[in-house]
Amino acid sequence: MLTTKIKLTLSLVAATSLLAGCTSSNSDESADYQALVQQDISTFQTFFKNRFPDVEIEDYKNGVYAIDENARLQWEDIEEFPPYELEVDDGKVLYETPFANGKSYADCFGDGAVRKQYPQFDDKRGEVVTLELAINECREANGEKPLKYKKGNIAKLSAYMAFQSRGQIVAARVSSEGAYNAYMGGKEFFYSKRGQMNLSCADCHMRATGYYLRADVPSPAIGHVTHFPVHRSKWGQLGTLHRRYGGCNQNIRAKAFKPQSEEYRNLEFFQTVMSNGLEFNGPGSRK
Amino acid sequence: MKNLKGLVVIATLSFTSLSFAGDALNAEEMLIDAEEANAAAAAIGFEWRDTSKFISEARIALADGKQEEAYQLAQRGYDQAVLAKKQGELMMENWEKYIPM
Repeated sequence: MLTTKIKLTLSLVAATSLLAGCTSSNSDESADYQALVQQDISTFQTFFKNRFPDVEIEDYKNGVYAIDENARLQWEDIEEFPPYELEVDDGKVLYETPFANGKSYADCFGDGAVRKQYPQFDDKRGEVVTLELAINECREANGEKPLKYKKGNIAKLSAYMAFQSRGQIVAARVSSEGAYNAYMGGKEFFYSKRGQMNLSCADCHMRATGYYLRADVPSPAIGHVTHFPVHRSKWGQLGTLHRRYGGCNQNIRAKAFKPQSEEYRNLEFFQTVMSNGLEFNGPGSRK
Repeated sequence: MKNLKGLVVIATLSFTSLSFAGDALNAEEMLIDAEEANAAAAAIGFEWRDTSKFISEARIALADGKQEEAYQLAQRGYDQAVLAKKQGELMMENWEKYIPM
């Protein structure tokens, strides 16, 4: 059904182009997908502009601290001595330590400042590639075992690379039918209610953001991806975005998907596109 | 009279035993139904968190001969799985209606 809708939408776009006397080409098709997505970004970001008129869009990179002044003051104090600092140092050591074959992560990622390149849709493979997936693929290509995806060394490496990438601007592109399908998969996931609590991502992070759910204010969905991995006080350590996705799904009594599952990679892709224009400022610290 | 009493005792015991066998069959059937329903919910990506736990606990209870407990747990799992599948089907058709504006 989704495919049919996409085809219908694209047919309309193609028909409009023909009527306008345009010649079809691959670059035109690519531009059409991005145009469809751009409309979503505008609608999404406008929702938050209306919801919190005093908050600048750029400030959503700070998650819930963009909208909760009291929590922000506490967070700023914490950030004076960031709890993730030692883990970033560990990540640097891991990054620079050669594999058994003498190569290292630098052979895959250069200086590590590659955060803005991920997640990306790989047209040849037909799937979304996240930073953590790329880290493990780099390891496997060099004869090393993959790391577990939720915490530990993968989060430390990812944190170091995020730290190296601070200031880069989120600019995820949707430039092919495959990328658009993955994006739409993530979008559907985001807005679908699931679990025994019958809640969607949007229910907590759009409708309820700014209000208290028990003792906490749910963070706004825009900017979710900019500051991961995060050191959560609850975890006492760094964790990846997909670890957080799993925790959220468990909280609403849905069975969590595996980290780096197609569902979570597509969700990350959608959320990243929605945060286009914000700054990557990971790693972050959260409650 | 003694024969009549004996007959009553035998009839009662037979009925109880049949009833017990019936529960065992129902618990096993309910467990299979719950597993199938949960697999259907999982296949569309909408399995709930605790359903497989109830099914596993029902399986253990059944193995321990606790028919009634097994039945109740399997029933709970089945009910959740049916709702999860309905939720998934509803969302797959209607998720766009839930986009906040």
